[in-house]
Amino acid sequence: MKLTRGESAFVVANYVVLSLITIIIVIPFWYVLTVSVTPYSIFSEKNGMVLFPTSFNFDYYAYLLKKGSLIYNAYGVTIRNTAAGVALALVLTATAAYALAEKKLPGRRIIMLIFVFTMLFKGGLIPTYITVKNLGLLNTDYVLILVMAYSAFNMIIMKSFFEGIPESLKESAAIDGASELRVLRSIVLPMSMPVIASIGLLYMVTYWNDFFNALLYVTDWHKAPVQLVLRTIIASSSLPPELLEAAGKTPPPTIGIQMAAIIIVALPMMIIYPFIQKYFEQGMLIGSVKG
Amino acid sequence: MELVTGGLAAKTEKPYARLLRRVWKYKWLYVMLLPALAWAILFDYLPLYGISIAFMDYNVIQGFGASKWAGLAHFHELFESEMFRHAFRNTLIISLYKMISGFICPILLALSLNEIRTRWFKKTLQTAVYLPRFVSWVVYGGIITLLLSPETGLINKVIEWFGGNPVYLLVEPSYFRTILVVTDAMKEMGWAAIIYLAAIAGLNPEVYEAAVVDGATRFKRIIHVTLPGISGTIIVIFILRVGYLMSAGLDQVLNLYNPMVFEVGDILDTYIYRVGIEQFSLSLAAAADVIKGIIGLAMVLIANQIAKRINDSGIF
Amino acid sequence: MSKPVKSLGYGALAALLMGTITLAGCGNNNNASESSPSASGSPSASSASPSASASASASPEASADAAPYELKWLKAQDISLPYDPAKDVVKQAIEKKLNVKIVPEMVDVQQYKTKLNLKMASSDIPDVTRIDFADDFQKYAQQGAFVDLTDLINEKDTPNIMREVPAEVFEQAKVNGRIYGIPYQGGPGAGYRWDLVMRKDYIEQAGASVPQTLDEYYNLLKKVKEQHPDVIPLGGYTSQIGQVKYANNSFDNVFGAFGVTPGYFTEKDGKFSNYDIDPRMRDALLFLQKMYKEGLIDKEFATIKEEQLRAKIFSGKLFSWMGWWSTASDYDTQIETNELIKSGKLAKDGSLPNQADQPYKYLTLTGSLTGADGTAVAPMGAPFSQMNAISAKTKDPKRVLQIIEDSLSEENQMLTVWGIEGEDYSIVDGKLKTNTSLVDPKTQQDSSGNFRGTQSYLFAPGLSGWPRYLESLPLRFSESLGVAINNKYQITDASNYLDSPTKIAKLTELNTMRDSVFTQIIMGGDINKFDDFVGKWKSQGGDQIISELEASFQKKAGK
Repeated sequence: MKLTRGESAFVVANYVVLSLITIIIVIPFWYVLTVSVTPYSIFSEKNGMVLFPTSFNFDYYAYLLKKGSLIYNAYGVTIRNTAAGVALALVLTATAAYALAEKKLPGRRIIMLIFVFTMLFKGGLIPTYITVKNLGLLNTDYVLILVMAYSAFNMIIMKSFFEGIPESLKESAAIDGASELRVLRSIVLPMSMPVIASIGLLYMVTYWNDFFNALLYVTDWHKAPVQLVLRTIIASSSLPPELLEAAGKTPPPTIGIQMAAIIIVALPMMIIYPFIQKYFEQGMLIGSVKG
Repeated sequence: MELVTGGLAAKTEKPYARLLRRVWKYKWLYVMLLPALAWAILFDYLPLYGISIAFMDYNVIQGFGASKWAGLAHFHELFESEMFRHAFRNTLIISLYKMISGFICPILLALSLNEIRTRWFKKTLQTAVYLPRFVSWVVYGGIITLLLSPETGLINKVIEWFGGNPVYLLVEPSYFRTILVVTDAMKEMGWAAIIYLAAIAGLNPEVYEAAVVDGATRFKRIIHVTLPGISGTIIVIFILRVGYLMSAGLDQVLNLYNPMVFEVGDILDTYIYRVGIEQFSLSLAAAADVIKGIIGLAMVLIANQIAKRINDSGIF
Repeated sequence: MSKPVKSLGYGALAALLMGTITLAGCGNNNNASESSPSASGSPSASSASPSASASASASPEASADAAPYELKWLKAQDISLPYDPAKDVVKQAIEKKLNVKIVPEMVDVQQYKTKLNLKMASSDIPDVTRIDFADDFQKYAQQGAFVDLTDLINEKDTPNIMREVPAEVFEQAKVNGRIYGIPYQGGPGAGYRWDLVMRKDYIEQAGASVPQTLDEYYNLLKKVKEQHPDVIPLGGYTSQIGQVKYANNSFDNVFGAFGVTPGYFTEKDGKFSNYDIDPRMRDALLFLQKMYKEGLIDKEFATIKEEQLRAKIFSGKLFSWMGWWSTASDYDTQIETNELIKSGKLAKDGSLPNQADQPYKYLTLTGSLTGADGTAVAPMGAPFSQMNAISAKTKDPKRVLQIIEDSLSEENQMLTVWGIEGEDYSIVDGKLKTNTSLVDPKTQQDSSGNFRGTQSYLFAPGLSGWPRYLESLPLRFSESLGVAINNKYQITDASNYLDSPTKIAKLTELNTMRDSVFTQIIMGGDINKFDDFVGKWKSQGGDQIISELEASFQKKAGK
């Protein structure tokens, strides 16, 4: 496949433009990293405009990660919640998506409407809180796993993928005597790895980054996920002066703490992400249909 | 076998019985629907009673029993408030811009990324582009503020370098909405692009090869193979986003706005936040939520109908 | 209602309270009370003590000799510090003295208000709650959340309470004519305690002395700007997330010199108004506009956050600003640190030890600046901003009241505020000195591994300040607090404690509008916007509020 001149130009332009866009997108993130290791004196000297770390200082990290700090436990909680949560979420989402992908399903439209309706109409903060309370879920180990386990939005996206799978494939399996569940498991799912991976990723980010639900439903700090702990630490160090600890020592300046906190929390996600990416590559037709 | 008997029997059995037959045929699908439905009932429908708060003068302590009915009083209150009207208008405008940019940008991004052949580069870019998602608006907003700072901000330094005069961008009402849209795109492009990329990855490579054999250039391939291939996904995402028309980005605005740009930047969500969380005027906030919900639902239904006309498929 | 109180939002007021707790006292050990989470949020941790005993012990007068009363308690604290209520010896001592069992639920200071509101809404009210007076308390009291104490509080049954909170103040705190809670103020360090802070060295270089009037100040600013072109003469900042904090807090002094203070209601001969719509406000805004144009005010004041302001202070880029009293000491140290680093005498990441006992080296503080008429106006916090209220759902309200009453005896106050004599503090030469080395700052524990929850479990006192509070402050703190307290131009918001439902419903919007318009004007907008604003303020609720206030005022006066 030889490239025409126009195409080569396009390719080059593509690389360049994309790189530029990526840099622009990444700059803020790079900034976060830099500030988190820059001593405060330099930071305030330059009025915050630090682009490359000149000297390294890990005070912020030390402050956040000190021994006995809640963070370690919170990390465990987050990991557990995320793992279990994503698993649960994918099960709920995939089953519903697959079922609704069947165009001939009686009552399909109504069921869809049921799901879509609540995407837009919510009961509100307090009623949801009261419901969770009445279900006896407050402050339990699994409340966070449950309350985020399903998103109609994601389900619909997955459904549209499933709809794209040729009927012929499913029928050839049905003819061989497989039940719906088996069809789902051995044919459709392997083929849908890209979408499973991407929806899984979306859920993963939701669980990992959750702060608000934890704030509402968790009171025992041993059950608190890492985002809650971190945001709280940050918030207490950035309190208006009226509330600051002023006796003798200020906590390290907020901006540094915030940045270090971001890195601490986001790092695992960033590491895991490339592994998930490879699932995007899959999804080519596995064993084609004859004819 | 079923097809055969179905054909014969169809002529003589009542439609009701036919329906039951079909339901039975798909029984496992219904079973599969149960978990998600159960979840939705528990966590989405049960709390719905809360909407009634909008029609009452809710007594937080005594609950529903002791609360007086207020009918549409709160709704009147909302529409009489100038701030609410501004917020409403801003929400519509900003959401519209964001929908357009949020529609185009990720597609372009996914398409461009897809054309990169060098694997490591592609992977790096993919990761990089998704990064901002991990950062909250608290931080992102703070960084933007720094970058746009009138004296020391990077953007202004660049402007000066090109010989221009520094502009205090964040406080100029005429720029604020643009800032919102652009920074939002920067932060959010990644996730939609991921989904599109996954969709592209799911496309049948044979169709591509066929196109190449037919002599299609890269460009043509994109237009005639890739785009149509993921059109289903594009439409679905679009319709869904329409539903969120009324939520123009609470976190973002909260972290970026300032008194100077209030009139153009305050959105429904920030209004509700102030009223509902800071003031804890639950009924008023609930009423605003109801308005949002109604409009959102209407928009989704409309968009769905349009999509069906054009593409023959919507979400339902 | 005091401004800084209003401008804090989330968790602010209770936090304010807790904050002054941490600020009080030198040394880190008193901050031990503001500590972090661990175990027992769960009541299951608390052993036996059936509260069933409560109703049985119906003799309200006697300090219960029945089983300890179980109190559910929402405790605001700093979760970045370790804490375990089970190992808190001060808490145990308090429980023994008052015959209670405290079951604390820990919540971070910033989230206190949200969490409390959430609990109120789901009927999970703590037995004794500390809650903001304005809005929250009034609202919930009217909805029946708290026990009616009107008949239970009097000289005979509750002498301690009456001593701490005089009858007139209780009058102020009534809602619909009934008493639903006990007023609380966080001690002398709470309320409006902002000073005008300036760099001493820059003043000296300008050959001037500390300005007393607005004109002197203005000229000084110009001089400083001449001599130090990259120093910002007057700094300001906007609020934390979610709030359009008014920058007026940053410009209080300028406003004050014109005889106005934004947001406050005024009363004269029974007639009410608000400074926001006062013609003098117009003059003040024009003056600020002039200052901004001449580069005397930080260009970015409307968008930067408080920490960026701090960054500028520390690096010497700011000449003057409004500073909260307890921050001055530390800022001075930071500035000194930075100067030493700059001149190479200190390592890049070096730091100086606590300087609170030494006089200020770089900063000087002052109160109000007087205007053309020789006077000024400065906001003053309300005599009390919070209430301690007893949940209507508690098992034995009379007993709870008695517990509160007991906690206010001299002896118990010392215990709850300062801890155990001889361990947490001692009286040296008749003055109170806290033991700053008792607790390890990293672990927040003393040598036996115990936590010391001073200033954490108390119901009052407050109005007369904590006992011996001022004695306990180190030099810098007492100086800065002194300047704030002794400002003779302070006035209170006339709408304090009056009933006005529209105020509760509409004030946020009016304030938001005001912030927006004022900021625009200061940054160069057309002054006519002010007149538009006045019209809108009145028609969108202001007039309504004023008439309600006047009615409430008449009612209270007529009593």
